[in-house]
Amino acid sequence: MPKEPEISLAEKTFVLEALKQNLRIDGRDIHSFRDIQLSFGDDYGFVDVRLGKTRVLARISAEVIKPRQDRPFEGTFTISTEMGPMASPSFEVGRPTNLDHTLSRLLEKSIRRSTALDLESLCIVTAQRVWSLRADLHFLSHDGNLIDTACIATITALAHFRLPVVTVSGEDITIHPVTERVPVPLSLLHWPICVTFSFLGEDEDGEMVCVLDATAQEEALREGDMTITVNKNGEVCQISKSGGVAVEAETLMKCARMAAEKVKGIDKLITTALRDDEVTRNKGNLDWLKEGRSENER
Amino acid sequence: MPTLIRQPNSGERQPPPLTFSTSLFRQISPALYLQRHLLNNPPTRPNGRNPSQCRDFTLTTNSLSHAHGSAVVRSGDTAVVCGIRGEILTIAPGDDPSRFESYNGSPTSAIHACGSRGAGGASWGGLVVPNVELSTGCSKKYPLGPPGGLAQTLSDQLHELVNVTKLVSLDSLRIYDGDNDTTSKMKIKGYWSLYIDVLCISLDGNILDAAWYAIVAALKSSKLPFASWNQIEERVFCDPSRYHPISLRQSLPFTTTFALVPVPASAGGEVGEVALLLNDPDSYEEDEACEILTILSTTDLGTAQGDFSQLSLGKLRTRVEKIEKRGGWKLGISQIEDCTQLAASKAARYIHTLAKEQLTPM
Amino acid sequence: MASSPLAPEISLNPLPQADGSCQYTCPTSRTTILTSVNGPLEVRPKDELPSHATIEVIVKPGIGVAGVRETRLSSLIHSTLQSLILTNHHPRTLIQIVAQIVQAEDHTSLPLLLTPLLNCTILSLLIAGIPMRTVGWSVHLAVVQGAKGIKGVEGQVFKLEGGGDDGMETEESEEVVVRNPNSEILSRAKSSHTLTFSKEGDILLIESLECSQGSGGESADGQGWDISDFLKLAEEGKRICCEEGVEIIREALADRKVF
Repeated sequence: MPKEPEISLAEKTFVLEALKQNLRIDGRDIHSFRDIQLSFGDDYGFVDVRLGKTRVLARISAEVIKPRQDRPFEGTFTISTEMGPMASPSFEVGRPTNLDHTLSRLLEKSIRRSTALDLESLCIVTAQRVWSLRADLHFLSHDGNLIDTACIATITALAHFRLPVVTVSGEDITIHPVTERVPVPLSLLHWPICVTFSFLGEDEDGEMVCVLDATAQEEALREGDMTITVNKNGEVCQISKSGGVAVEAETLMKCARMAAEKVKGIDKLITTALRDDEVTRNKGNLDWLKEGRSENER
Repeated sequence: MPTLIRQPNSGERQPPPLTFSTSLFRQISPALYLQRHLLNNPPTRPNGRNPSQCRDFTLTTNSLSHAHGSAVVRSGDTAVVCGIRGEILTIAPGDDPSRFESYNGSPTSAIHACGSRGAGGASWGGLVVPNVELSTGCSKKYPLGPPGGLAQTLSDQLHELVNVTKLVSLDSLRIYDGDNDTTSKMKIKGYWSLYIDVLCISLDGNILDAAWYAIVAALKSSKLPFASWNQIEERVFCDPSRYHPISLRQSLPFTTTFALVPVPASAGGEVGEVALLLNDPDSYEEDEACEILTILSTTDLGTAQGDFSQLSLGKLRTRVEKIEKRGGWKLGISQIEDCTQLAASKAARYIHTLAKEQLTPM
Repeated sequence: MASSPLAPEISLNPLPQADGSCQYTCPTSRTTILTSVNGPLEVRPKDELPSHATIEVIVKPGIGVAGVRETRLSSLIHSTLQSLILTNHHPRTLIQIVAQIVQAEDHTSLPLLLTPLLNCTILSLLIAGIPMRTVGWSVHLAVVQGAKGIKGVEGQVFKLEGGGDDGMETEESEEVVVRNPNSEILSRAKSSHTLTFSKEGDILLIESLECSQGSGGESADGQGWDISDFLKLAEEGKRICCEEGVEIIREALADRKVF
């Protein structure tokens, strides 16, 4: 299988020297994200996220199953991230790379273990029927920072998804199709968003260069990285710095504070995008969103 | 052993050509070997059959005592064993049984709304599940291990065939609460789910036809115990003394597979290649073939029940239920009609053999 | 790019990293497929063919992980592409095609997915510049009994000439053919036909099946179709692929100036 071409010495020197002088190849500020574009599909729970040339799709689907024996009040939520050769020919189907493992571990910690999704709200009939949610992430194009993009995609898709209304009467459970009853949003306790910092050598003042939202070229040249997951309230959900170059604690604290700031901006972006999508869907009628009525007006 | 006769250079005489034994020629140049056979007049195949002739087959049913039904089909060197096992599927409160009640129904709109992917395909019945196992040592190409591409494709094809033909009557698989008297008023408490395992013992081409025939024969000779819901124990109980067969459709459908092999067009003004149809290919012909055509058809035998040897090709009324052609580009639309007639006569032979097997006591 | 309401929405090269890519949306069923083609690439030694390129097709479902259905889809696409791609031009290499099912009404229905997958793959192969013997196009036709209640776009519903012995067909009993059916029409159909033809009119793929509803057993006796009806349908499918299909390809590539 083809490997990614090795970065030439000339390219490497150029990029690192430029960073020492606070200049990035694509002209961005060292601490700014690329333009995040969110677009939704026809169904609820489907989002296409673009971060420059990196592109990830997320789709949420749900089905009704019997809950686990040891957790009869909770639904289940799984995230599937299978990278294929579409993102980059160096990925193979069925042979997960280190990036695969890191990505699924980080999403697991950030979203599932931080209980962003309230699993108890997915219960229909205790010990008999619960909702089982599944997030499928499809990586379409890899130009760096798949982790942050995947996290934004998952959270946005979860916030966008609508669960069909279920009524329980005695022993029977009726799942109402969307044409009968308006579906309800999921119960998300908070929105954890990952921010990845890449460390590429020291700048003129001797401080570590911490680059935010690295492109594939910058990722190939980095000496270390750290992913920190924060929500808009500034609460840290997880921190991961696995090996790589040693960085001073003070620098890491600065990064953490920066991440908290950035996440506030991303959160606002997601909220705006979701609102705009609702407007398009209902053609301006937002009343039902506020009241959460489940009856058909007609 | 190749023999090379070398003579001293005597002026204008050309050295004689290399000669090989036929088996060596077949190994070195399999495509050319097959083509030379087919270019004969009349075209013959290396296995001795003519192109529209299929292999003789034998059928044995109910040879596996632990399965609810079984069949062994041998067609030339291809041998397939099929076993049917019924398992009870209980409907829990809140389950929607409608997806078990019909083939090809559209997914219920509620499940559709949340985008779930039902087991075995939301729009295909989930009660009859075939599975093909090729890693049995039947051929060098399929070593031990998880099912490879061909086994997976075959399993999916057979599942599709079960749904397309609607072979098994799904109403007959219901399990009711209590006794059989007033079925219309009773609640459905569960279903018989049929697991069909197809094991290939020996592979010499055309496993699809053999596997499908084995499945139909095994289903026809299966017997399931009578099952009903016991309200006291809140479970389904089976009665080992009462057995009933699985209700199938009357007109049984069968598949016929053809391989198309490219041969250079014979001298008649035509240039290029034409495709020659070979009925029931063996593995050598399948490897050389560029395209495969499978036709699933039922034959309306009508009153010609008695004398099968008198059936002539043109007289059979046949309805086609599935056509699959993949690979290559040489098949002509008119050739499909000839294939349908050949498929009809093969289906008649299948039905005849099955009927004979059913009459012999177990 | 839609000149007629039945033309699919095609967007070429949406993926910057792939050699060739295409996004295809079927106009009536809203099935969206995204394919990427990379090649000729380095091939694993065990897959290497001495005088041909190895073609690898991977189909990734929209929901869940790939199962037997996706393996079957990739095997059908593989056999079709084997007769379109000139594999002897790049021996000992790999041509890798990945097809992602982005959006579908029914993620597991093979008839609804096969046509968009094939068309999208052919377009992305053209964009990637993989040498091909000829182009092909695929069309999905469904035969429905009873034209009542089918609201199709213009040109989608038609009748085959010469069908029916007597002229006494009422609207309920007449058989109509629907092009590019969505899942609702498909659930009412008697049979579904996916036909792929090359530009010259050669048949590349046929996947025709009986798909009426029912609970099987005796009620399934008498289903199926007559071979002569099928042959008429195939002729119509050939006309659609060779004329309209090739026109769609030409239009889609017109402003690219790839060649």
